[in-house]
Amino acid sequence: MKRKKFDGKLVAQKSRIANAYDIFNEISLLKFKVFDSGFKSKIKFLVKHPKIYKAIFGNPYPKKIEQISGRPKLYNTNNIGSELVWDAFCLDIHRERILQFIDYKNKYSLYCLNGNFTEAEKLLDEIEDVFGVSLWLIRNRITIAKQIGGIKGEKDYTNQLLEKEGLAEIIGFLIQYSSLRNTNEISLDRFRKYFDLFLDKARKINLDKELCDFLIFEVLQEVDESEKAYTRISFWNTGGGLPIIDRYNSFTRLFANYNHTCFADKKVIDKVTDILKPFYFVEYIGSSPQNLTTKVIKYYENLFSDDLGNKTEILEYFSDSNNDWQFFFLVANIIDDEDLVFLKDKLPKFKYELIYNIFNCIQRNDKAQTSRDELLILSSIFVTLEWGDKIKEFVKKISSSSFYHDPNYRKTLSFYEFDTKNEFVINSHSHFLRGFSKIDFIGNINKSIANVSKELIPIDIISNSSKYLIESLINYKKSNINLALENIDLVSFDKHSFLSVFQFKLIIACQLESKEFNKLLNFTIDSFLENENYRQLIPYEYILKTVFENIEDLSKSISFPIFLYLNYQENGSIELLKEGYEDFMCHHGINRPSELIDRLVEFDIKKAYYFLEFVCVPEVIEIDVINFQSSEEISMERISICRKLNEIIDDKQNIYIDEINSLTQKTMINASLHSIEKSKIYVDIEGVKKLATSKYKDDYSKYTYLLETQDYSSKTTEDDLLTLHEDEDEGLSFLTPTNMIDHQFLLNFINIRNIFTSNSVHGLDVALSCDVRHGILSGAIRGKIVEQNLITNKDESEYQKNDFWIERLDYLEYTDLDHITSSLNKFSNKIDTHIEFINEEIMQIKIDSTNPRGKFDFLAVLDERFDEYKMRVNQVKTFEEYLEITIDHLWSLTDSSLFEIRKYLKGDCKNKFYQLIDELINDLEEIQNGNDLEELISSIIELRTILSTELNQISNWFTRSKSSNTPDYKIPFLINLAEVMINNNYPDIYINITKNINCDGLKFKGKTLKNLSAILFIILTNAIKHGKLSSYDININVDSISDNINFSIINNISPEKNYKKLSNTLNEKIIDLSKYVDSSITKKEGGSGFFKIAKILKNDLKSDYKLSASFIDEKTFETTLNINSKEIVL
Amino acid sequence: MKILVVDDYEEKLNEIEKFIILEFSDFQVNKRRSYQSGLKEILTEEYDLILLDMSMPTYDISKGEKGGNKKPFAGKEILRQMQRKKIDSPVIIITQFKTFGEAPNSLSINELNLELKNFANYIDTVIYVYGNVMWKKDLKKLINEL
Repeated sequence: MKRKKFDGKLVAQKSRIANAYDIFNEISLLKFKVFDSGFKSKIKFLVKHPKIYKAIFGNPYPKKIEQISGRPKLYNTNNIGSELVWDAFCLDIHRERILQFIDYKNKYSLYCLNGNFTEAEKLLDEIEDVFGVSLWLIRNRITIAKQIGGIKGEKDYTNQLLEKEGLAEIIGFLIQYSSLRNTNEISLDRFRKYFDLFLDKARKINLDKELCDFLIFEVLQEVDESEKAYTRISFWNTGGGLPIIDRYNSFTRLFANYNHTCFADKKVIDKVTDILKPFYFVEYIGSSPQNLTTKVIKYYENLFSDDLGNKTEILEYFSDSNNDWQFFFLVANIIDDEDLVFLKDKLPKFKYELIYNIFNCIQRNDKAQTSRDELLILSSIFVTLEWGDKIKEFVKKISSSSFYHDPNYRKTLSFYEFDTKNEFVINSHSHFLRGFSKIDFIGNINKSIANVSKELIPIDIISNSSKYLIESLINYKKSNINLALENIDLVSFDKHSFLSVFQFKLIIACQLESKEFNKLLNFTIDSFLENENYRQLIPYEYILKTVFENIEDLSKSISFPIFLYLNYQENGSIELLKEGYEDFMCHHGINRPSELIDRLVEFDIKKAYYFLEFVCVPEVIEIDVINFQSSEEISMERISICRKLNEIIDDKQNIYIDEINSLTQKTMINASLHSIEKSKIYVDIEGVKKLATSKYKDDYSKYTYLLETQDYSSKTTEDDLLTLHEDEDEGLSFLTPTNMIDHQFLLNFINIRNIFTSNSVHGLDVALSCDVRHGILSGAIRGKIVEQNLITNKDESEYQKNDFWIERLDYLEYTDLDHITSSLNKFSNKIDTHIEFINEEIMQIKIDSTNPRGKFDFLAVLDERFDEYKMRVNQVKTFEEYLEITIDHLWSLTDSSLFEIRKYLKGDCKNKFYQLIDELINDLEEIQNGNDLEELISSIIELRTILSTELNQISNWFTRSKSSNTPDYKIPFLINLAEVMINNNYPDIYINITKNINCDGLKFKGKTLKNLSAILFIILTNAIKHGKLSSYDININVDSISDNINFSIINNISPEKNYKKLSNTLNEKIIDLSKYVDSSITKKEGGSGFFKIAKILKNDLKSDYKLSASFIDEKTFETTLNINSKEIVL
Repeated sequence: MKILVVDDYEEKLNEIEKFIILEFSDFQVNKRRSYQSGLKEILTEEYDLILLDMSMPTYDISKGEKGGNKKPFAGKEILRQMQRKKIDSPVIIITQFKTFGEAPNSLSINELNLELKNFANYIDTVIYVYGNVMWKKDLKKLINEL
């Protein structure tokens, strides 16, 4: 026996896929890397491994409905051709069973068509025994249940299934659909309502786009005419999770549809046909086109023989017809046996027989899958015969029956709708042409097409336009492109009729074939600008594939970037668009799009406007790295474009103005945020001076008196200063000298220093407390870690489980998941502890030697600067001068501290975070299969860079404020700013803010922006900190009555909160906030922040206010703030 | 030899610079911190070698500039633009990560490496590990082989 050659690469591949943590991804990659011809051996080899078999096939013969619901993860789909070939090979593995199923199904069809539903039902039982359950089985069970037990029978069955499955699964969807479809009296509107409702539900339960596409395909058996849509659905077939029966059914329908598309590839068709020959096309396509035509014509002759019905009666119906398409519409829409069964009771006998016979006109083994295509072909030919004009009346009757109103047909119909006024014509044409292209496919020989067309086409009843189009199509198929274009030229191009759709596609196909790419692009974009619906008809990928080598030649045409923009809208490929934009600009020597406005005469004006409006947007123009160097420059350029367009184009002014406003506001918010964030360090110097003067002017006089009266020779030496002792009376733990003069000097300094640093209204610590420690610093650092999903919140005593990673890594063993949970919780704890340390030990003012916390060091007096300060003081005579020099010295100490803080943040602090990150990585590396954690580890490593950048940014806070001129603003801007601030601080929480502003004309003084935004930020932070929810709906209402502005902020709150207890606490706090002033409570960290708000209002904004907070009910909380606006508005 | 290092991670950038100056004293090292500033530099100046990080912000982060969108494949995008503009300076990717981007569009380092091999001027990828010397050896070897 010949030994099989060992293929080490294949074995390695199998092992790699079998051990991959994301098997779908690996399989997708395999599909990318292996040429289609290699699929067969790969699949055969790979599926021997149970894990891979399961990934590719799910459970092909599921015994329970719940086993159908598994869904594939969709990664890296290849092109449709490759997917179809892969799909076909997958089906081939189950060849024997599929053949068996086809036999069953044929038998079942016969029972149905003969009205023997009891036998049909028995057969379904048998099919279920052999193949398990499937979507096909359920749909047919519903049909049979209705045939046997009427609506009640159907409802009993579907209710039973729905109860079991609920609406959330695929199966539920199909049950609902089939059930509705089989309901006699359902109106079109009602069906649509149900259908949309169901799709909405499907989307809400996070069914992804692929699944929704698949379901729509299952229901309507149609698919968007884009390669991508086909690929997605095909991938669904191959991705595991569907019974083999459904996979086969879906595949055959999809493949049949594919054959009509512009991207159908003959090689793929041949290959798939070849693979599936035994059970798919052979009986169907096996006959030559000549045979097919003969059969059809023969049948056609038989159809009107006396044996089949009353010819006179038929002719009577067919007389007086001038619309040959409607009958075709009817027959073309018969999808499968179910539909025939459905029609049986609806039509008079002879009409039913007519359709029945057409339906059965060709010997078929697989009726359900191929009937539609056959009917398309047959009907196409049938309709083109001179008999066509005699069927109008017949169809008129049919169309008034309930059949016509069946939503399924309506849905199919709407798929082709372009001009609803003329829907019959549209759909008939569409089906006709699809049918015609099928002839081409079947025939596969141009000669045969010519024969068919010669015999069947030239009929008087077809309009000239249709005739030229059909001739053009035939010429195109025969590669007579020039002739095809000549034919098309004879068609009057009406952009709003159905014919133009086909004409449009055909012109594109011809121009591609003749390599007239510039003409092609101009034609495409001209048509699109005339009628936007054309965008759906453009075969983007096909065009791109064909023109790719000529991209350089095309770049001068303004149509090209517009085409790439439409392609981007359709396929999401922004890179090509950016490059197309850049090439175009470069070709014409234009640096900035706004310059194009002055050169409009060089271009087609309509295209130039479109280019400026849609192509020249920030996401695209950012490719120009030479001319644009920041987000702001990009925004300014866009504003400039909009301004110019606004001046030129009258009918779109509102759109441009809205965009300008939105961009301007975004830029202003960024600038304001920058201004707010650029420094957190400020002291109310005027307040300090005022207070110092009222309290300590006399002490300064005392010092000058001592200085004048004491003996100067006993001046304090450095040694004296070293023997200073603690002055406990001051409670300041400051060093005081033994010498009286120095004692007084130091005492005076301490007093002023303490106002400067620690006064709860004017001092530096207020800034540190409000703008650094009160959640701002922790928000900035934590926010970044939250964005990486690496930190969770503490619930009572324990950190919450990190659901993000646990869900993502759910393929790991439980023990590993526990390890990850524990590591991440430990990390969360360490991070929070470190942040607390920064707040408690670093961001504090050090004035007490017994409690030397903080890097703002105001203890040091024994340095050169203090001597220098003393010398300067001794040279002045007035208290005011003394105060200036003292404050100057305090700023100097502040600057040194700020330097130290910046150094700390960029050095030790950063290193500590790095250390915690390394500890986390080491901890996770204990998990054995480290490869499984790559994504998590990458996220952690990325955090190092992110924190490094963030800490550098934070270190910028610690510079001295210089006054900046914030422009005056209005309330909407203030609220938007607060919204951005809160979203930046809580990136993981969904915050939906609804604004209701009744005083949006009111203008506020620019200098109040920082304070008012801080107040709103504190209130919003409260809502989120205490709400304990993962998403918030917050209403901000603002109105103005006389001199008062009223803010009402209403937020939802977790019902689990003990609101009675909270209410009591709140009531105690808000009795009278005015008591806070000068109270140390302002500096208290955490809590509600209400005292900070009070401080800002009273001292910084010098405004009277009233603040209250209460529960509206258990789930809703309201904070109201009433501010006297005299000092803050213009 | 004139080298450009493009990386948004300050410490890594400095360490690479320090290492190159130490090992190749006659090399001139320039640094950039984002996709935009890196690409601009490449388009306007000639370099004998370019070291690129893979994931970077669009713009240099500074006061008032948050960096724009984060580009998970910034290095690859720069390579693509170099190819378009026919700039063939050799490029080494120096990264800390083993996966890039977010599922379902994420790529492992091996997959990315395969894609990068389509660029003629791409040399190889060096994995930078904080506090580890291996990357230095790898980088030195690659530079010496140029």
